[in-house]
Amino acid sequence: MRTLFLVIALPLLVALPSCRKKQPVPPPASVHVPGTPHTDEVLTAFRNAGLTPDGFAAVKPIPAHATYCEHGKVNAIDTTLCEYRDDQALDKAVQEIKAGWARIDAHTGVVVRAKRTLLAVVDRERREPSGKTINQMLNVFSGL
Amino acid sequence: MHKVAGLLVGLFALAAFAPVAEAHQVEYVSPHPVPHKYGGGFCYINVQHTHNYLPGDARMYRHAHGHYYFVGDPTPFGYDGPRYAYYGAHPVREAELRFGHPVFCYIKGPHYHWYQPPAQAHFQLSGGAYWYVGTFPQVYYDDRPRYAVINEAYASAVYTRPVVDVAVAPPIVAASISLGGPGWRAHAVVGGPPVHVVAPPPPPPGPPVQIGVGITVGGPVGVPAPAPPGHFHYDHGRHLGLHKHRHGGRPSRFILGPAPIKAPLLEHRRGHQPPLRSVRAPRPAPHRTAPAPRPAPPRAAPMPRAPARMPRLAPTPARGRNGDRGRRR
Repeated sequence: MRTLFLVIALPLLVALPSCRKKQPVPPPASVHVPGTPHTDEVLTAFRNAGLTPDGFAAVKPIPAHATYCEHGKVNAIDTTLCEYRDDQALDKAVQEIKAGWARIDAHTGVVVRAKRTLLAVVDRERREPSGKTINQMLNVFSGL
Repeated sequence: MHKVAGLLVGLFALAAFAPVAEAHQVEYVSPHPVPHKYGGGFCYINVQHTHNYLPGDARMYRHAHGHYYFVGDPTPFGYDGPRYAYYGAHPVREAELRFGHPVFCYIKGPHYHWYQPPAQAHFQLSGGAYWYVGTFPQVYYDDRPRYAVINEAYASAVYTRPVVDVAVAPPIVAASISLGGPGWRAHAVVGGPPVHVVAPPPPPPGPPVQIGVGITVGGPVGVPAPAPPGHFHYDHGRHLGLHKHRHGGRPSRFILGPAPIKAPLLEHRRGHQPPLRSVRAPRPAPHRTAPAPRPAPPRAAPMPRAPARMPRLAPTPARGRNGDRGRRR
């Protein structure tokens, strides 16, 4: 009986801490790539421009070739921000992202870079055919 | 044996005609209209981007290296961003930078673009629009039959075009209009169904100024017409109000007619460029031609010789002081 209790209780105890609400923990400075706009800087710039980034969190596992990535939504449009250590890795990532759009038949897709930070925006469900929000994001991003 | 062979052939045919699993992605390098099938409107993304649809009307695009660039007027597609008025054909520098070779807009008459011409380009802002006053390279003429079809694409579009006062066209163009000079021919605003005027702007009393009244393609319009008398080829008299101009009397600067969608208002004849020597203002303001009441300064001694040349350049028989002077001589 005692053994049975332990078998049931132990997994519950282990699982309990994960029930807490996820708090966005800022990544330690060491994970960011020096010399290129950091993801948090980009998000701050978006907010300052009147955009609404929402739900951004570090992507785990980190997508291929990237050093650090965050994914979330800006005005309800899927947005990914990644930092790269070298240009080769960044170029490979761009090709893979574009191939991914073809697979999912994305309505709109944009990928641009500022130094070695990549901004990838995809509108899968035609939320914004005019692309005005995307264009605003691009203008802000290119000014970093 | 026959059954197996038939099965193999059937399978092969099935595989050959099976739909491609991967969707088609199309690269755009400029803002562009969104086809009606995909919601319509205008896409404002001004960097290279991807959509899962092809252009709605390929006549409005240039296509190179797998990229599409929209060279048309964005206005009929609900574009509400900044825009700049142009008149006639001109180079598109932005597209040139993207593609690495010259790209031209072949839209006839007044139209809009979202971009301003670069400062170093040969554009002149006059009469409310940018005019290209540079020389067109040979490739412009070579490509014209292929790309001038953009005017057919806009023929059925109903939207407000910019009103451009042709009377204050750049001198290099205006002189050619008034003199019938080399390389240029002036045409009337022609084509389309008969139209009526919605709000014709009154002829301005003083020097020409831009009139901010729009015109509607295929509908009621008020199209500004060149002021200088004579030497206008008005498309075989299909123009409203033309008879007044031809049979004497001062022509109205704003001749009513449909939008210039069937024939060019100004056509740069191949291989010619109007010489700068023959440039003159198409309609000099009265105060400039009137004699100055004050005595001429001493250093203006050669001035009396100038009017003697004027009648050759000016086809209008002046009845004022210049004409009298000519008779006295």
